[in-house]
Amino acid sequence: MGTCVVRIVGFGRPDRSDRASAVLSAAAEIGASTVHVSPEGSTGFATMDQGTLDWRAALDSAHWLVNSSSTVLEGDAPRGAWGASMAFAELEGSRSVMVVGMPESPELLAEAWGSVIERIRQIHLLFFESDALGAIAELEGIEPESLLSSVRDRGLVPIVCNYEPGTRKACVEHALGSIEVRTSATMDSESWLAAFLCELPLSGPGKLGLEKAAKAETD
Amino acid sequence: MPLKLGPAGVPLSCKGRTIVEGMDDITVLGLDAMEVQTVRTIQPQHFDQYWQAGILSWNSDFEMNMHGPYYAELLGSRRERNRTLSKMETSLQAGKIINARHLTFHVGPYGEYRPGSETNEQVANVLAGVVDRVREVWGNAEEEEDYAAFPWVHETEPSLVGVETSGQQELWGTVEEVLEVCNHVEGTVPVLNMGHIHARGHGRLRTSEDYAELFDQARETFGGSTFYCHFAGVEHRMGNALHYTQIKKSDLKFEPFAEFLAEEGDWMDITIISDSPLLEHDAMYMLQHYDKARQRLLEIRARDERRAKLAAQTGIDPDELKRKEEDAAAARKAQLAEDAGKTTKKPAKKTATKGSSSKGGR
Repeated sequence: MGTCVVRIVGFGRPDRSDRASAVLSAAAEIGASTVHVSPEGSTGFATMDQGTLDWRAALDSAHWLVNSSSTVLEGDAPRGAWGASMAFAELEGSRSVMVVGMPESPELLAEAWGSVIERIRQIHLLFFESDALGAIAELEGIEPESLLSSVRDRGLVPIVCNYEPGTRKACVEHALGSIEVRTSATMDSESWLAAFLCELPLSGPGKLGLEKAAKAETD
Repeated sequence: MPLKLGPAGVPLSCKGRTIVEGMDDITVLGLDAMEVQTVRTIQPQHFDQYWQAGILSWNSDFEMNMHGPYYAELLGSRRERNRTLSKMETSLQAGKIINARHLTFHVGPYGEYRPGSETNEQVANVLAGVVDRVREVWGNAEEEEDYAAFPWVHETEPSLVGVETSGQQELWGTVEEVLEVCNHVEGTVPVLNMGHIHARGHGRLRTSEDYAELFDQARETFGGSTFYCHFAGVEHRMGNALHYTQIKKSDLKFEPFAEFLAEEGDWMDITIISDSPLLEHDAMYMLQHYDKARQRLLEIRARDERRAKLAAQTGIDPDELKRKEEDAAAARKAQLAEDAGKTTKKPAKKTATKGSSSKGGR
């Protein structure tokens, strides 16, 4: 597999304790070239100076930009940087990936999801963590099993997906239909997403390519 | 022609995230409209922000608009319809506070209905109820004092209910359907989402004539001159919009629309909202292209006027003068081409004579 050619940029906390950073770490483990964007020095994440982040340089020839929905809850500065990263990704030709998970304060999920909806047109791949799936389905007033397809139809997001580590089942909704595959190995959801992102640019076009990437067989 | 342009939301480049800060940034960019997305419920902090935005728009020439829930099911089951209507109610309330000129709504999937006049009638009935509710929410003379903080409530007309064209075959909202419903329900206005129309029409908007045809159709069916449009790049396949893109990356170009607006749009009062992933960047891009198209038109008109004046002075027929000018221009062009041909030949000549000339120099 040629994962080394896939370049992924992620925006997250300096201590990498967020989901976007976790995806980035997992991608690095399987050979992707990764760039972790975070404020340098002693500045707190919430009070960072977003003007110091050079998105253009970071996103240069990157395949993916990975963000997490919970970042918007960390403060105005991370929220601004989060939005700016997606605008730059659009300009630079990188695809935006949004990881939607349950925030540390679950009551803030609606706010985080609302921010994702505001930016839905800039998102190319929307990944739902299993812990947030049911709650968002409830917010949207739809059944959890039809959440992925509904969000894809409603927001015109090219790929909407989820991975259930317990059952090793990956569900991917895309423009050509939907795919359900089971991975041969047991992995956490961030590792699955990392493998999926590393495989997608190399797995070929169409449904077969997506299916191959969703199997996340990275070796 | 009154044309207003702006982004669908707070500009991406705006450091602040409030609507008022967004309005400031939009004004600085030379744009003059904005469309705000509906929130789930109006929390006190939203109310404050909305009201400030409403006051600012009232005191300036800035046009505020509101977009309803990003997905609707007005043709669904009673439960689905009521759920959509309750989300729309939030938009109506927020629209009043923010002094929205247009409230844009989708209708959603056909569901059990089939495309046709019966379905359109059902949509018209639901939307007539929405228009009534907008008017009810907008203002009540008996509550005049309560609305002292909202001068627009009694001094302007209630928000117009915008019915948006859809970008997928399974969703209600072809141009014909939207125009028919808007024609039958007073207080509604068609929202022509160009990306959707282009996608659903398998890439139908390519030339300025295509836009002329679209607006002629709108003028004949709907009758009004007020239009509210969305514009963004779109990826499409089999008559369905797949994904929104920046304008430069799409086969839906803005230049023909700008050309149409500059040349034939005098009768229109139009607002264009950029809902591209590059919100304000593409709104600026549209403004620049519109200005260019107008500039080009002004140049053509100035040339025609000068020609007419010169013809009157010299006693030559304007058409004859035009023909002479065209002949002169063609001759100039031919001369330039000939000169350019000589210039390109020169290096070869130079190479051939290089040896002899250097010899001569010695």
